[in-house]
Amino acid sequence: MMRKLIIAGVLTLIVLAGGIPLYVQRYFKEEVVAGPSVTNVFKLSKYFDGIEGTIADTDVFELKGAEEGGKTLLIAGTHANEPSATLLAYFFIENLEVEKGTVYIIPHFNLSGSLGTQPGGGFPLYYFLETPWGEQKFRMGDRGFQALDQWPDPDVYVHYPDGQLLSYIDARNTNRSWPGRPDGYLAEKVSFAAMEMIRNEGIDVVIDLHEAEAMYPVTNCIVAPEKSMPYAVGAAFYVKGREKFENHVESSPTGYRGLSHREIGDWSDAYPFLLESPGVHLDQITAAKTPELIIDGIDPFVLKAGEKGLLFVPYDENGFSMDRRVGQHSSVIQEILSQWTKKNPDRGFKVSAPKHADIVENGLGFYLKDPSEADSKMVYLQ
Amino acid sequence: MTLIMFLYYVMTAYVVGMLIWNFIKTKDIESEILYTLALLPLILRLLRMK
Repeated sequence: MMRKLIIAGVLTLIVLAGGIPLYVQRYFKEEVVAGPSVTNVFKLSKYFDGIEGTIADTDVFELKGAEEGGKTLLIAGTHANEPSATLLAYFFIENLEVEKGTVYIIPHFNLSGSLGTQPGGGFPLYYFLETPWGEQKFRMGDRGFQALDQWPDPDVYVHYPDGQLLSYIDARNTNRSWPGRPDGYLAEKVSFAAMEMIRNEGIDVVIDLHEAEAMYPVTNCIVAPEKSMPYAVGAAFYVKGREKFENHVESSPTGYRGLSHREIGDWSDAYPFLLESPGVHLDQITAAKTPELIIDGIDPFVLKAGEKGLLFVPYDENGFSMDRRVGQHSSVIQEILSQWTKKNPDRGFKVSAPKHADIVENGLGFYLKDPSEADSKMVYLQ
Repeated sequence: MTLIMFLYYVMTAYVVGMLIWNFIKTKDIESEILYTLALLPLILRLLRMK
């Protein structure tokens, strides 16, 4: 009997030691301060009440300029283990100036995914960013919906409406769930809500923000379907010429379904783009997946792979820092909107925020606002 | 929570109950440890921790 009590006690200790940090992370809130251009904050369920009150519902920040123009939707947190996307969203919410047009920003498109990390992949629960007012803490998320929120997985995920058979795990992937449906998985419902927003608001440009491995060919790039291609090529050309960093263009495949850069364009009038910045923490070959690796992007094994010509991005001992990744996203987004405005002046944009060179020089933390110093009504918990 | 997901939680609770019952009944230490290991992820799921 005593032996059973000891074994049960050990089990209880393991459950508590392992489970409580996961439980605390799930309820940890990130803070973002609404900047001067934020005109409204609402829930995505405004466009589809089927996600109201569920974990699939998420905040949408509206930044509306004084002058009428086009509308763009920036989607971050599709894959919550690609943190430069959400940090770019926070950076824009706090710093973007919008004079013409309307910018909608979703920091955590897959909110559920942001509420738990990938312990099996050895990832930390949090990562930290240095700012002039101290260290800011963020949740490290997972690629798909938490199994806690969408369970069980099917044997095979059948994409709607195409019927293409995809990996079972992609049933929880909000970049395989487009265009979504109102009575599908939660991942499909959140994509459907966004499609309803795109169609009902008449969104012109949709930009989905991601990170990808340095050893994966679709990285450090803009993915665009046929109709978005001229703007993508223009943006890639101009950031290379003006800002001196590479960001090549990849064509959105027609035969691979469920991806934002394919389905949004096919199922609405919007012009979709998907941006990939190189997040080496995602590479399988790295050393320990530490918070520092997520922020500085420095890894000796990735460097060794680079020496052997196995990478698809320029990489040296300085790594690929969060400042560079967010800076690239900032510059490329602004350049896409600039290219769009040249050809569609009536539906154009006039927006500005610090770009790649500024962010690399000053550090991303320099631009983030201190929630403790801000008006509490302007602080949003994410 | 969908009906199917609810039923999966019910099944999990049932399996947890059976494992605990077997853990109590067995006199073999290896089986006790085995039941304990099998219980761990199921308890984490039931408590909605992971």
